[in-house]
Amino acid sequence: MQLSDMRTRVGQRLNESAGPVFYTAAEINAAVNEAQRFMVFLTLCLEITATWTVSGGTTFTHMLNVFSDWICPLRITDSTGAKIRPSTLAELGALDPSWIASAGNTVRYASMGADFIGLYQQNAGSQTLTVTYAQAPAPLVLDTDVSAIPAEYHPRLVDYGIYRCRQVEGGQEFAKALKYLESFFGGVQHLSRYVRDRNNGAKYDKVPYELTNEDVAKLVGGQQ
Amino acid sequence: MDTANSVSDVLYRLGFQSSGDIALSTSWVTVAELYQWADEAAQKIAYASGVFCTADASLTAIASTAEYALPASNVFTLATFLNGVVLRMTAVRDLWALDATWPATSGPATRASLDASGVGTITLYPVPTVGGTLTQIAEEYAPTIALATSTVALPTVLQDFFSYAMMAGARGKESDAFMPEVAQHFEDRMSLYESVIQHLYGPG
Repeated sequence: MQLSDMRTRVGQRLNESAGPVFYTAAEINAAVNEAQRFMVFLTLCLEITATWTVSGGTTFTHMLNVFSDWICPLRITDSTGAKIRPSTLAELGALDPSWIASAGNTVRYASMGADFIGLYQQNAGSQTLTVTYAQAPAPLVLDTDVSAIPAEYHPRLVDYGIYRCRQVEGGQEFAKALKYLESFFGGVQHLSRYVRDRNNGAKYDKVPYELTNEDVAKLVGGQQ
Repeated sequence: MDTANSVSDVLYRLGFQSSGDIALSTSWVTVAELYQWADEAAQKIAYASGVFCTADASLTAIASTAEYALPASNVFTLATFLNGVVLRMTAVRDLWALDATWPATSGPATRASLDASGVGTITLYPVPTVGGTLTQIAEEYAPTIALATSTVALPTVLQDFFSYAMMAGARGKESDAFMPEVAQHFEDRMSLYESVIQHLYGPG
């Protein structure tokens, strides 16, 4: 479904079939974009594999400076295809007390905070690593833009769009829209289970958050 | 990520027609306040989940000096290195157990303690006989989020975390637009974001 299709559906379901009056096109577009950001953050359903050129002797890198659409690492491999194993700081310290300045082939990495990566060991020369990471969605701007989220979940983005548009009203009107948020979460839970099983099977380094029924119930007024 | 995007994203939902509308002197909330709520949200995930990690090499250890003030932005030190060699993080009770006169023992530093002295300090053990660069892998808090400094080093998918922080603050503020039940919902949305942030980026 392209952006204009989703906007039309949101408008129709908000009783604005003839065109935007109360809910502007820009507002509905923003709502759909928020929906896809939230769905991707909850499910890690978008991933990309890219090359990362690391200068010689580099230990630490903020990955958002390398990949602006970074969410979290899933897998890092070296130029031979060998996996660079994720480790904790305690493990690296026990392995090698001088690990932050230890020349050699990179065999492990530590991930800290939102985007901070430390490599052990550090190649003397420049090296190219292959990084698979959970990717933030590209903004939907043009009417013909299509979300990279699997198409069968696009109706759930429409649901979220309705919920978000009604936030401005508050009170009972807003409460009526919570069923759309519940529907959105149903899609998230389904997609998240698939991605979690897939990531576990692929031995990825991160899996998506497990959205519980309690999480959902708290937000949709105990309707679960 | 630029929290200015969050400001433009919440205007309509707070009942404003445009950025000019919220700038009116009669407005019940200001853009400066929206940034304050975003800033407070950033500081919360800084200490709760340690999202802003970095390697800080601003401290220099000096021979015969054991105690150093941590950088002002330090939230928690995850690991410390003196001249590239890791110092074992050790609680002061263990230093006492290890060495009854530990404050006076000198030699090449092998351990570091975050509770041997006041909050915001790090103490080396033994008292170092050799100085050098004291590198720390540390959780920090973000620079203040405000109108002129609205960017924050986080993934773009967290834009809406800041949007909900702004709206939770605005709708919870005592004003003609006070909507406590909606503010509570927005705070619950933030809680869910915080749970996912903890899962993806938190320690461990």
